[in-house]
Amino acid sequence: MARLLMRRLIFAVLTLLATSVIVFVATEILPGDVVTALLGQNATPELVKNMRLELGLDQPPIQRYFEWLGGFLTGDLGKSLASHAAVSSVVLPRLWNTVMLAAYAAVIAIPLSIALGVLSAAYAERVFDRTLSTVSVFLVSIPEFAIALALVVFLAVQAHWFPAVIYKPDWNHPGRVIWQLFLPMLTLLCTMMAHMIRMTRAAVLDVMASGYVEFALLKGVPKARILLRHALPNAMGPVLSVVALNLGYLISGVAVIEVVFSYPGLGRLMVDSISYRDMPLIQATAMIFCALYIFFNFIADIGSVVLNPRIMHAS
Amino acid sequence: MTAGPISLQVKSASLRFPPVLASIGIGLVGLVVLLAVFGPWLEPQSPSKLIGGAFDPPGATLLGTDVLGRDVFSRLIAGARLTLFVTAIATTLGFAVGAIWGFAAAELRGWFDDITESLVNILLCFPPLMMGLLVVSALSSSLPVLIGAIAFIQMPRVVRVARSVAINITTMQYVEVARARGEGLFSIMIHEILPNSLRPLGVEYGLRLTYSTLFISGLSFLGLGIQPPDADWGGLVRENLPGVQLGVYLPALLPGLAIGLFAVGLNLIVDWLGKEGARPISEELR
Repeated sequence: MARLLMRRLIFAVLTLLATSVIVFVATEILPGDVVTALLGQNATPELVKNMRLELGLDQPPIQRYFEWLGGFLTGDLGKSLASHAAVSSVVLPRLWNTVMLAAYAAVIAIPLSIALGVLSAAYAERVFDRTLSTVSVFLVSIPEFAIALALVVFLAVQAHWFPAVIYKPDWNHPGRVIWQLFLPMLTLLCTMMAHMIRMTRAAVLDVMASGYVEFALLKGVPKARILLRHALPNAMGPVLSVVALNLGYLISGVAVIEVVFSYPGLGRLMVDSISYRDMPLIQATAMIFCALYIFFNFIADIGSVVLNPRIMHAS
Repeated sequence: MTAGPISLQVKSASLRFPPVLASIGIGLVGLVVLLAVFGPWLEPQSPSKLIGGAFDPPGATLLGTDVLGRDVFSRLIAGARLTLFVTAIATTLGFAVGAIWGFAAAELRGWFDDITESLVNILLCFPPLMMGLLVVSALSSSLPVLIGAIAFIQMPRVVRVARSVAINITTMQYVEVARARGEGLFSIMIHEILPNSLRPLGVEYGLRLTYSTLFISGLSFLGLGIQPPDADWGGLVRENLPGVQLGVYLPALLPGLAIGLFAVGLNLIVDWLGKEGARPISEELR
């Protein structure tokens, strides 16, 4: 058990290291010369040389990689090329905004999906289940930005119920923020709930097909009680894995939605940094996204082990 | 060929006329494919020609004009062509490489299989959208890079599915017989594994197509996919966003709707194909 967890942990750390190499290579070595991109075509050789020295580009890539990684681990993310502000001071407020939006969506989506999943397992192949699964197919098929745009058109531009853009979330007034972020949150619900509902349904149905549930049924235990006392707790392992996977998706998939609503989150920062070719910012945002994604994958992984008594006691 | 592989799949029941939802799916996908293929003859205008003012309402043209005064309907058809082109090529490429790799891992086992498994596990740990953004920012948003990136992102998922499907097949007696007969790796992959894994692979191919469509649309919507003046459906949504503030919704909403309907169509078909004992459709939608 402990060994298994240890192995997963080591794997997660190795993946993170591999990610850092990929991010570094993608942003530092491939795009040719950052300096000419920064200074433009007309830069004098003198200027280019000074700039290279200033950015430390005269050193070999491997040395720069380790310096970059070391800086990352100690919290020194470098300076933005465009604004010259410390990367951490740019990134942290954006990270907060993204995490809060994701948390807002997760707090509503997780319990609601589990409830709907159990209900559609209880009424499997009946009208409720079929309707829900048809709606799900539509929701997973429509891209986030199209859902977001439709919501903006109907609920913001036409009905004036919610703001269409959120330049500045008002964190001092929680009630106001809940209203401000309603449409992005709703978009996230649409895109992530379908998956969680279907997995919950599948996991519960799996348990419902087991011998002890059949026995309970034969004994005359009411169906609702079987669902809640027997099926749901035993289905919790796979369900929570799916929840963790979806949180990882939520964090990285939120970028598109942030762009639609002009929301000052990390995803939009990354997209903007790419168009400005602001390498330190691209590196920092990409690393944070990858780290969060890997973290939630890791949680999903060990969650399915820890919560499954059979695997846990097997070793 | 004597004693060919025994076909275990395709019960006659599965060849019945598709149910309502699947028929709708086939209709939607078929419509988009027809639009893409016969687009050049269907477009009333050249998709890049300025024919009026910005955001003219429908009337003179079927769906009005876009942000620069080009025909919305013609651009929608041209967008179908580009979206479908990138999606089909990228998915097929990633799928072919992934399937061959997965089959080979299942048949060869040993160190090759071990390396495959670790590599796939690592590749699956990267958030796809972020990887796509990184690749595009490092290289360029040219068509070959976009197609290569999407194919590469799909590949590990296909390897995993192909391997797990093939592993059940490689333990069958007819594969042992084939080996004893002296068939090589490629012969076994083509004559034994492939015919017996068509259904699960078909389901997976459909899923990957949906995924590629959403992925390229998302990239283009962010401005990092297909570059103007060409536009796929995601790019069309992006370029017509200014209209939303002016109260002109159709040019931005229609391409979004088109992506949705195409992906819904694909999903309905996949759902139907996967009904018989295959894994849940939504399992790897991201």
